[in-house]
Amino acid sequence: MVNESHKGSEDEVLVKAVLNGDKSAFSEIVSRYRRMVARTVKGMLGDTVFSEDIGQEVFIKLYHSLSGFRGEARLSTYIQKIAVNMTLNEIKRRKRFFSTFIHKGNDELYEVDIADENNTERAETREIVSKALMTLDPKFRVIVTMRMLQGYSTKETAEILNLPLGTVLSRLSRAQEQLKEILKNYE
Amino acid sequence: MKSSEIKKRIIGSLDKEPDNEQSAADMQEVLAWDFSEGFEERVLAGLSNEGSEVKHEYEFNHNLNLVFYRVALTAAAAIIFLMLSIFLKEGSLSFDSLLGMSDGYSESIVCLLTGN
Repeated sequence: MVNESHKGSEDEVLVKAVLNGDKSAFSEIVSRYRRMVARTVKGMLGDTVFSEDIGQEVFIKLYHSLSGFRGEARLSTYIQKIAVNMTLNEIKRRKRFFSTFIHKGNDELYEVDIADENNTERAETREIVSKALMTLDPKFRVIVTMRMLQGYSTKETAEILNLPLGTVLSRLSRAQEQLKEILKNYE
Repeated sequence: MKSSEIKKRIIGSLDKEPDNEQSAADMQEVLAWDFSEGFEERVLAGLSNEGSEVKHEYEFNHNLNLVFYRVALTAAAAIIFLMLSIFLKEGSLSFDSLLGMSDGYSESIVCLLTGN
């Protein structure tokens, strides 16, 4: 479905093409940013089938909101904001569901597929890091996902999450402490 | 690079303000998250289905409204017809005549109900 003519096109060109009704340009945007969205969604929700659905919803929402994209920020930042908001909403929805029906108070719905991993050591590390991430409170998890998994600076993270710089720094520091404790237990 | 080394580097990076590129590269190497094959096609299919879903919803609501109006008009016509026929038969539209008891005496109703 990806039109080869769109490969390598600037994001702005793709956005204009999508607004003119070119769906293959949108397919190129999805192809370009799917991994970034996967890291955010799976970093915060875990590697589950639900993450796949949220990923799709992120891009569907992007499609509908592209007419409001003014190009003041980068397209990647715009997509990242949508992904973060939708994932946080999903976490809130799950918390409500669990507190109402299951009284578990946790959103441990993740499953790490390690069956097809050739390298068991890598699969084990992957599982440990995933579990450690999921153990964090969502407000810390989102900071770790942005800073350590997506590689954004503290300033960019603050912009995306619409939080003061100091809050990002203090949450990052607390998240790092918690992560260190969790990961050391697995050593 | 060995997985255990990456894990050590991740733990090591937690002692300080993380170096964006290095910590991201380490984490991405371990986690390597992506959506499954054919993700783009599913997103585009979702967009197409969304359009038809909206259309189906609109058609359903439109048909439901149409059915409701027809049922409501028929019911209103039946009520008017019934009241008109009662008025013509009984000569009034009192509560008793609506219940069909305008020409009955209370004693006879008691007799009917008690069987005495």
